[in-house]
Amino acid sequence: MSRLRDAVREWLELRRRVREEREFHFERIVEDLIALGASRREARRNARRRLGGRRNLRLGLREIGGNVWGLVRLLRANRALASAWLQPGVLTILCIFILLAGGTRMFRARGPEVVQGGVLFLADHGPYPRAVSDADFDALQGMHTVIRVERERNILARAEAAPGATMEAIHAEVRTRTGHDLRIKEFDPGDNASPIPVAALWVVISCWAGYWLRRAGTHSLVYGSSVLALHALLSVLAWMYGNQLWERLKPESNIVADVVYGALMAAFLVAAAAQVYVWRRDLLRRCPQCLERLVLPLSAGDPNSFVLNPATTESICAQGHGVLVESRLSTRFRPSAATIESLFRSL
Amino acid sequence: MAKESENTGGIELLQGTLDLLVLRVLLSEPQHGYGIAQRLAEFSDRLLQVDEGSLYPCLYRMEKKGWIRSEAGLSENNRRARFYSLTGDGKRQLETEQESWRQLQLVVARVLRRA
Repeated sequence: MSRLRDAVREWLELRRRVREEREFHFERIVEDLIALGASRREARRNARRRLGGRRNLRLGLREIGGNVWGLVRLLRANRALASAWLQPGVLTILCIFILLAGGTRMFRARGPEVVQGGVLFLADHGPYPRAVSDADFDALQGMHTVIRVERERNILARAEAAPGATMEAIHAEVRTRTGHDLRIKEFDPGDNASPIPVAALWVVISCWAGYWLRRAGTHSLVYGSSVLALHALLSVLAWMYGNQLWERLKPESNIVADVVYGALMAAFLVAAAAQVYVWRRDLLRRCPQCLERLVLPLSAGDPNSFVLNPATTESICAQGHGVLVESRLSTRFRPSAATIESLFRSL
Repeated sequence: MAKESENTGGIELLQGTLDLLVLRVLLSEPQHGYGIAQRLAEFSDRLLQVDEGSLYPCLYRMEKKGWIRSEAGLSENNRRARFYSLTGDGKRQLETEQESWRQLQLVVARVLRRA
């Protein structure tokens, strides 16, 4: 955390310094021009012209590393990107962002009586199974308990419940207008946003992660579990928010909507897989004791050999806790002798 | 790079020469950025007018290299300003750069004479 703070502080200091120098330069030019007989307004205009616009400032900042890339360089130089706080921090910020964007609508409580979202009308009779006839559909158009009645998949009818309408009231009005009953199914535009499928997916991932972490030390276990929980939370929130957006933006055509929704589902699964990959890769490259990112990766062996001299990569912990040995077949962290000794001593 | 307005028929500085000129100006006395730009213009008979977009990055770069140091102070009109002065490393660098410049002059002159 302190590395991140130092890097950002240094960067802000750099920008402040450039701004101060520029202001001083500007004021001095203005004073000189006034001394030569120019009015203050004219002097300021000329000074601004001499100093150049924002483009000049941007060029100057770029040259000394005061732009965004300069910040990235500073973050890298301070090893802030290797900080154990980075991943949880970014995940927390993203979760907060989604919560702020989605608001409380994602978690709204549904009343037991009043219909909150929409209703779907289905018939139990007629030439096609469940199809609502044109006559019934016309009758539904003038209802008071529902609004915006439209065709669903060309044969059914869907509508939004009027504020305060109950299912009983809708049934009663349908009976009055059509002379018979229709099956009415309640649905909420946010129904797709149910977190259950995604939560189930992350439970499965957590089981796998638990198995993978079974031999990890306490630090790794606590850190890994916490970060994975944040990943799961982000994924669930993104799913709920994405579905909420989908309800507003989905295409008119049912076929196109189905295809696009399928593609979005696939993208979501790929994103979840990427999250797991990032989580595992990051945890693997951290010292299990101090959680610092391992450094100085050193490769040895023959990449073409599997048996006699297989290729391995060794990365060490900067605190001297041990070495991570990676090969095609296995990855294991070898604690240093001193650490083992100190462990025995503590026992 | 330092630039000169077109209507005064000025010259463009060669890459790297701004460092040499700034170090030379700072050899006599510590100066703030604006003072350095003024001295350069004055010593070059207004042929060189250094753009602040080039000057400050140059000063910052040299400070990073340890050739100059900066400290906050008050300018002649009681404004807060950053004053730059030459360090020991800066003096050595100035000598090196002056020597390099002399050699470059000789080489360029030789080529121009013989070509």
